Formats: sequence, structure tokens, C-alpha cells
Amino acid sequence: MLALLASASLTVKLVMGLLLVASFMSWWYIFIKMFAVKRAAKMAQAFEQEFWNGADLNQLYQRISRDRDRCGELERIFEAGFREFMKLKNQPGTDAATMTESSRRAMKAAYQREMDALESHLSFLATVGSVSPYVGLFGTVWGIMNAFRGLANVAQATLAHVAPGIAEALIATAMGLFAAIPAVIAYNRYTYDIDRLATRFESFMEEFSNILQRQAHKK
Amino acid sequence: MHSVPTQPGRLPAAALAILVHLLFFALLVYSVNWKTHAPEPVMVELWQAPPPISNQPAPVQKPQVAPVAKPEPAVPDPDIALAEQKRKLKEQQARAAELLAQQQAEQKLEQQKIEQQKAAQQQALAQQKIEQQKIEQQKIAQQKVEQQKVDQQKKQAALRQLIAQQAQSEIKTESARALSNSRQAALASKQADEQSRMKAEYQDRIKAKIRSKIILPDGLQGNPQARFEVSVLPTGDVMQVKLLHPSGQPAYDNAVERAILKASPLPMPPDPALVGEFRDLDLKFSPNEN
Repeated sequence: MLALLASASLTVKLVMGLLLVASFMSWWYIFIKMFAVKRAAKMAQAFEQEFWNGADLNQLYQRISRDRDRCGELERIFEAGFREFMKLKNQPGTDAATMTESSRRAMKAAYQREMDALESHLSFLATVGSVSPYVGLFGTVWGIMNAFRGLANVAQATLAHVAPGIAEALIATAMGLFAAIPAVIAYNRYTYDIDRLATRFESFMEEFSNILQRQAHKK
Repeated sequence: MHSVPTQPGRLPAAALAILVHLLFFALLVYSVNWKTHAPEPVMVELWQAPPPISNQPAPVQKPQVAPVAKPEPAVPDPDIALAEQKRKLKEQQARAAELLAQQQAEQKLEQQKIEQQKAAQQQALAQQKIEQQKIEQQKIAQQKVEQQKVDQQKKQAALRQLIAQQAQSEIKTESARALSNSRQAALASKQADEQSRMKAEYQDRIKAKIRSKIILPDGLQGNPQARFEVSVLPTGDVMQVKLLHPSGQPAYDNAVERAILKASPLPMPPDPALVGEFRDLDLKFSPNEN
């Protein structure tokens, strides 16, 4: 097996190296995204539970702004909106509509940044998923071409002359598929998960805006 | 401004990615090394005798391996034999040279002796001045000299014989070389003969097998001849049948074409060098051929 790899031609070796790097990177991102998406869902669940169980908004805001980095995405969105609301509330002469509108804008901006961070590297997975089979195929075709060119010098062509070359070339396809299949699965899975998170965040933002509007009018 | 902290778990993710790849390679190595035992031989039972041969009944299927295994096991390699003969020749020459040197040395010694004797005789003559003695001694000396001459002649004759023998042996080696050359040529031509014979034989076999499958249509008139080009795989399977020259009776053409397809694994010679000549066969068929 290792001898097979070692005897491959330079092009095939380069293709295999490229695929190995692509595969390693895609698996790395797969695990990073897996942790990130799971954590985001868990934190959002916990925060929503805490929020709708009637926790004090000021206390919540204090806790979150104390250590932002250990909080979830939804908590940071809430923090951004509530900070904007408090700032405007402390300024005299701002009406309720402006207060809710600007806190909504602040939440929207925070939401977009959070989504961007969550969706980062997903496009890499998509690229690996769609391109690496072709790269592997290229390596295989190249290897088989060499195998058959070697066959041209042999008077008696048997399977034994081409078989090792083809086997070594097919390893490139195997590696391409090994990189592509998990990347495609992970890409589909994570885009779906992140879409669900996005709708969850958006609905929270709408509901929280309503709460803020009520508070603004109450004042 | 809203800042997003970097996502945690980068290092565990990298470790997991490495683990996945190690697993993948372990799987690859294992699955490639899995089948290492050689395939077992396959036993084949012959259910049907091969088709009979029409034209050449006498030299039936001499195994193709024979000419390869045959090459003159009894006769040693001509080169080696030649070297042996040369070596022997050299030894003989060396021996002859030694003999010659010895003889010359002996002759010298004897001549010296004779001279000494002559000197002694002359001294004796001078002292004794007896002519009879002188004559007798001279006679004796002459006799000795003559004897020596005869000896010399004998030796020279022996030498000449030796030289003649050498020449003869040289001639022999020459003839041996020529003989081995001719033998090799004969062997090559024999192999070529064998090959052409095999070719003819298998062409006959193929034709015979096809002919055994022909079902002659009714109402056939005359003796139409159809020419077909048959493309054959090395396994003997018929790949394509092309009618090169129709016989003029479509029913017969169709019958022959069906027969060719039906005879599909055609008999192929076991020699792979010959199989190449059986890729495209040009076959002629006519109903009254046999």
C-alpha cells in the first residue's frame, strides 16, 4: 500500500498531497462547525428559557456584558439591543419609536455579524465537496495514462502490467471521494442547522423589540 | 461595535481531524493488504470432445510446448565444445613444443659428445698413428652419426605426424562449428514450420467447428461460396461477423452467419504469439466443400 503510493508519478503524488490537505482542512472545519453550532443551539435554548421565565432584564444585561465571550450568540444580540435601548433611554427627549427602532437596528447588526461568524468556512466545505472528486479523477486519469504508456513498450500485454498502475491511480479517486463525501454532508447539515438558528434569532429579535416598545411607552 | 469572539474548540477539532485521517489510512492499508493469498487452481472437466479436423488427420495436436522444451539436451553447447577442443589443441601444441625443445637439447649434447670423441680420436690418431684403428674408429663414429641421423629422422617424422594431427583436429572443430550452425538454423526453421502448421491446424479447426453448426437451407442450387470476415477476441469469442463476398444465395449466407455466431468460443491456439494472427479471420464457405 505504501509502496503503491511511493511508486506513483509526481503529478499523482501532488494531487494526492493536495487532496490530503483539502481533506484535513475540511475535517477540521467540520469539527469546528460541529462544536460551534451545537454550542449555539444549546446556549440559545438556555437563554430563551431564562428570558421567558421572567428574569430581570437589567440583571441579565449586567451578567452578559461582564463576560461576553463565554455567552451565546443570542445573548450577545440581546446585549447589543438592550445597550442601545439604555443609551437612548438615558438621553432626554427621545421618543418611543426612535428608541425601539434604533435598538432594533443595533440587534440587526449584531445578528448579521453573529451569522457571518457562524457561516464562515462553510463555503470551503462546499468547494471541497464539489471539486475534490474531480481533482482525484484527474490524478487517476493521469496515473492510468502512465500505466498504459508503460504498457506500450511491452510485447505481451497482461493485466499484471497495468494493474499496479491503475491501483495506485485509483487511490487518488478514493482520496478525493474521502474528502468530498463528508464535506458535502457537513455542508448540507450545517446550512440547515444555521438556517434554523437564524429564524430562531430573528423571531427572538421581533419579540424582544415588542417588549422594548412596551417598556418605552410605559415610561 | 459588536465584536464576535473566535469560535472555541479549534484544537480538539484538529486532533479529531487527524484521528479521522489515521483511521482512513488504517482502513486503506488493511483493505489493500487483506487479500494476500494466491488464488487456488481451478479444475475443469471436459464435457465435449473438441471438434474433429477435416484436412489434416495425421499430425494431430502436438503440444505446442515441445519445440521450446526440445532444444538439443543431448548435444552440449557448441561454444563449450569448441572451447574444450581449443583447450585440447593448445595442450597438444604445448606438449609438442616441449618435446621439440627436449630433442634439440639432446641433439646438442650428443653433438658435443661427438666432437669430444672426434677430438679424442684425432689425438689418439696423432699419438698412435695407426690407420686401421683410425679407420675403425672413424667407421664407428660414422655409424654413430648415421644412427643419430636415423633417430633424428624418426623424431622429425613423429613431429610431422603431430603437426598433421593438429591440423586435422582443427579441421574437425571447423566442421563441428559448421554443424552446430546448421543445426540451429534447422531448429529455427523447424519452429517456424511448427508455427505455420499450428496456424493451419487451428484455421481448420475453426472452420470445422463452424461447419458443424451450419444448417443447410432447403433448395440450395449449385455450389455458392460465401466469404466472411470474423473478428475474434483472444478468448475465442466472436466479436463481429462481416459478409465480405455474398454467395448469391441469401439463405446460405444467413445460415453460415448464424453458424459462426453459434460456434462462438472458437478454438484458439494455446501459443499467445499465434493468437495475434487470429484476430481477424478471412473464412470461405461453400456447401459442397466436404
